[in-house]
Amino acid sequence: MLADLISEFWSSPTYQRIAKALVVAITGIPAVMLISRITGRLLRHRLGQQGGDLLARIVRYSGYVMVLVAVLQEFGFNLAAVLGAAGIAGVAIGFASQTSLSNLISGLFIVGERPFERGDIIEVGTITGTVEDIGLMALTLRTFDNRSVRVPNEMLVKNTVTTVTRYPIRRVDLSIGVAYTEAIDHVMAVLRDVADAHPAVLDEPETVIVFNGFGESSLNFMIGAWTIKEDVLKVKNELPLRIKEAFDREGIEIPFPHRVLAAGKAMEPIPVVVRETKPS
Amino acid sequence: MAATERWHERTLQDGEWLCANFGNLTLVVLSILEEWRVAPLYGEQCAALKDAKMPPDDLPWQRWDRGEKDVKLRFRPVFPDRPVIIRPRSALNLSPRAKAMFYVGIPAFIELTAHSEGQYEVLHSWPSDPPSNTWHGTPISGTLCYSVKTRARRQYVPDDWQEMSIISTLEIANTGSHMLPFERLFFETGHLGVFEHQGRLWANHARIRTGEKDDSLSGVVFGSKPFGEAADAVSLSQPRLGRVRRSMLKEAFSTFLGVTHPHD
Repeated sequence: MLADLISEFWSSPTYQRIAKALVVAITGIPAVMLISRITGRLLRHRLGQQGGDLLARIVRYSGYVMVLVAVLQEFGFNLAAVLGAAGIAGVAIGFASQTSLSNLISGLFIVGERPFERGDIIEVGTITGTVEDIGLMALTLRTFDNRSVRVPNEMLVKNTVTTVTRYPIRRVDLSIGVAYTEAIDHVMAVLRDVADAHPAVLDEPETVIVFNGFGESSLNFMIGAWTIKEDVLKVKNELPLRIKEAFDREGIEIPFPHRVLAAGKAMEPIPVVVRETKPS
Repeated sequence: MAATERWHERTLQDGEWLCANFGNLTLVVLSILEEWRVAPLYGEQCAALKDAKMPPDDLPWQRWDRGEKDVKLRFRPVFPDRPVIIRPRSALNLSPRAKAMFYVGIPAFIELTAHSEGQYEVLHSWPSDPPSNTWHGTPISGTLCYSVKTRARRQYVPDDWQEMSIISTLEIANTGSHMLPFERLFFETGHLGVFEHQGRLWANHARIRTGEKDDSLSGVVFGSKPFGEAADAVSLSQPRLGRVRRSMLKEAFSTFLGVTHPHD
């Protein structure tokens, strides 16, 4: 009985094709998954987590297409004819999907170049946020007010991208103006003391304090305090407060321009009209 | 020889509290509602505790859960959890084949271990003096370190260091053929234990040999005890990264001597 079934199975070309197709699919899909995983793991060291994942995804999708073609070929699928048609259709599709292809290729450039990693904070145009995902077509950013922004990869290649958290330490720059009556060296000494006393400001690299020149109504200074990237916001918030406190303590005046607004006629003398009363 | 009383095991029943002074740091520990509550206070902040029967609620409390019968705790001095940067009083050039001995005072962290379900667990450690941060390396890569305010000295002057400074002795030998400038020291303290001798804290002695360049370190040898007359000191804490006799901590000690160029 079983022998009859086996004999019938092997004598039928349809069953044979189905069996071959199943073998291709059953062995092909795990093989593709394995190759994709190995590729991802190998490339992760070189291209980072996101780059490795992205290329692994490309390998996986390409592999699935190859397995699908192999399966279809078992059923008489003519690949040459499809490729021929694809050549003609490709021109039309190419024109239609120009932007998508551009995004895809830009994505590959970004993965190769690795200007940032997942978790980095970047600035693209007017958008600042944390990199959530580097996709085939677009990058997903999470802004600080918790919005998700999709930035096409093409835009990342064409525009200036600032990776805010690339390096472990950063300099926080503040501009300060004081009154012309203050001694420049005293102001600089107070600023240095404030920076040195702040626990999040690094001793080295040393805080930069620069006298920036004579302003319209103030002596202008720049203080650049180094801190680890995790403490940037803290230093940005706290240093001006401490500078103000120190200036108040030392009696250093922070001037501000005074303006008097007046309409043209309002500045003229008030007209006085003298009327003589007629004697009754 | 036994350690001084401040490092002994203490017992705190439910509802009791204690106040332990470690130089500039005061640790207030309260055992209440099956919790250890600890408030670190610095300098004048302790004024809030004057004549208090119970510590005020508005202290900066940190809380840990404990078992109902857990009453034991103890304090230990430990080295900071990051490397430290130390500078000599002024730059010193080490001649070829010369040796130089330095005494360095590193502010200790005070570690609190307390019973939790009958077992001692480390709760936390606090700096005896709030350290300032510094960077060892370039703006592109490097290591976050603590900066030691007092300078490394060539001789032991007890008054130079604060009560809770761990006095660490370092012998640096220049085995190279060039003058070696010593302006700063990157000091990785993971293999150093803490000892007590005559009420002062000491670390085991370390000997460092440098080669031709300041970053070609040929080895660090850690003594098992502190240097000189402090050799009979009592051990208080084991090294954070374990006790070793010899280390080739190239990474940890690389460029440990010499001039840095922070703006490179």
